[in-house]
Amino acid sequence: MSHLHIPDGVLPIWLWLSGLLAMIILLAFALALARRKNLRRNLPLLGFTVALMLIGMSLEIVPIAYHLNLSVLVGILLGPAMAFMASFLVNFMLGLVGHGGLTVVGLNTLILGLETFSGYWLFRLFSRYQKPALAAGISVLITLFLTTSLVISLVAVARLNPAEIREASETGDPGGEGLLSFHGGEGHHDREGAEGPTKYSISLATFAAGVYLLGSIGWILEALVVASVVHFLKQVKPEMISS
Amino acid sequence: MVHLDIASIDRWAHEGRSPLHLASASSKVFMVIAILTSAIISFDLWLLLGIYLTSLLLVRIAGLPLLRMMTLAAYPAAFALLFALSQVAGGWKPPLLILLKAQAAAITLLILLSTTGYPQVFGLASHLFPRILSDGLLLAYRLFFVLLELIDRFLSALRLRGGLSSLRLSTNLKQVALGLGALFVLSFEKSQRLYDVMNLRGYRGQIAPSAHLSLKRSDWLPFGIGTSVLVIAILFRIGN
Repeated sequence: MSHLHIPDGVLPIWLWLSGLLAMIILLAFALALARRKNLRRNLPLLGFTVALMLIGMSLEIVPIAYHLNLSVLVGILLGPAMAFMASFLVNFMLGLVGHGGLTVVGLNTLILGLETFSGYWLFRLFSRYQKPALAAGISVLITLFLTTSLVISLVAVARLNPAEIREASETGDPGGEGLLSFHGGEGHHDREGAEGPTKYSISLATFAAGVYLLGSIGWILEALVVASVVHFLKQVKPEMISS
Repeated sequence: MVHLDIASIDRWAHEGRSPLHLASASSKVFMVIAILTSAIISFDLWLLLGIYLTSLLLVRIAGLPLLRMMTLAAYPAAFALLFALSQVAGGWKPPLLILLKAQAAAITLLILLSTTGYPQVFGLASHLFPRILSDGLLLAYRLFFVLLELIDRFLSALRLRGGLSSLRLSTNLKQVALGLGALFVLSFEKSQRLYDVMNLRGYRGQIAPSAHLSLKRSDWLPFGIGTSVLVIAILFRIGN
């Protein structure tokens, strides 16, 4: 899971606003960096890679119906600055067609951007000691583990509280926290501070365990595909990898 | 799947002649922002149900296939459902609130893109983004269909030659990687040629037309609905 397929209206306002703000700052930085390398000349390549990422997301690996991400590959090919811009464009387009919300474009861009960024630098590091295909595969595994951990952290940080939503739905006052809450399982404190029994059916640990377990299957598949693509590119058009 | 969604949405946007299709892009964006804001700030079940039903009414006014739109909106709802289900210990209201918010938001966004040509939507985006990003958006949208056709032909050829199997995962992975690799090489080569072509045709840093914020007679509908929903949502918040 490296993309928050969370629609609008679910996450707390402060969280997605912070995400948007952080995205704007990083996007401005990426634009400034990319302009030094003749961004206008690379505009068609940017368009192509955004389109390819969207196509990758629509390809199903039968029989398990896994959808590829290709963010690490795009990071390797475009470099971190342009790849971050590509991440934003992909998430914006996905938001417009209802795959994830517009308000979470910031958070999703940060996650996908982190994948492209770490994928690029990890590939550069590992390719000094390994063949490009193996370096790419390892980069994918590490990167997707990192971003999956980030997603779990975001979900935990959201700290949505169903008790407050229940109260909000009765009084119309949201209370400020959100919708979903994870607790360690021992107990929780209600708004007045008194400890009560844990009410929620999923603890953070259980959620994380499930996500890591299912996600790891996807990481391996993605690593295999990206490694194969890099191997192909190295043979057919090596300047794409080295540039 | 994403590519089926985008292709259908693109066709609806260009073939429709409903009042919403005829309204300006700016008025529809206002409507979307108003309904989204209302969904986000509302925590009253009946109000959210009203917002959701309003979005379905807009689907009918736009002449869009209701069931298909609800199916498209079900994708983000499925993920919202994951969160919603974890709230069942808190009763049935929190999960239902989450789902209604998600559905109302998703359908409203889909209505925008299904009733407005992508040049108008991206042209409006050029007021928000740096020019280079709105141009990138427009290029990516057009190139998506070009590359989609190529990958579809490749996959069809694979299936015909027995290269894809519902049982052989490793074979499928290898073939998909091969197809993607070829597509990346083609894209790299075409992108260099495309830049030369753009330069020859006078590209000076603007592809996406800047959409003028002009109003049309048919804008009363999106403005009216958007304003009404937002005012009601704000009044509910203030009242509670």
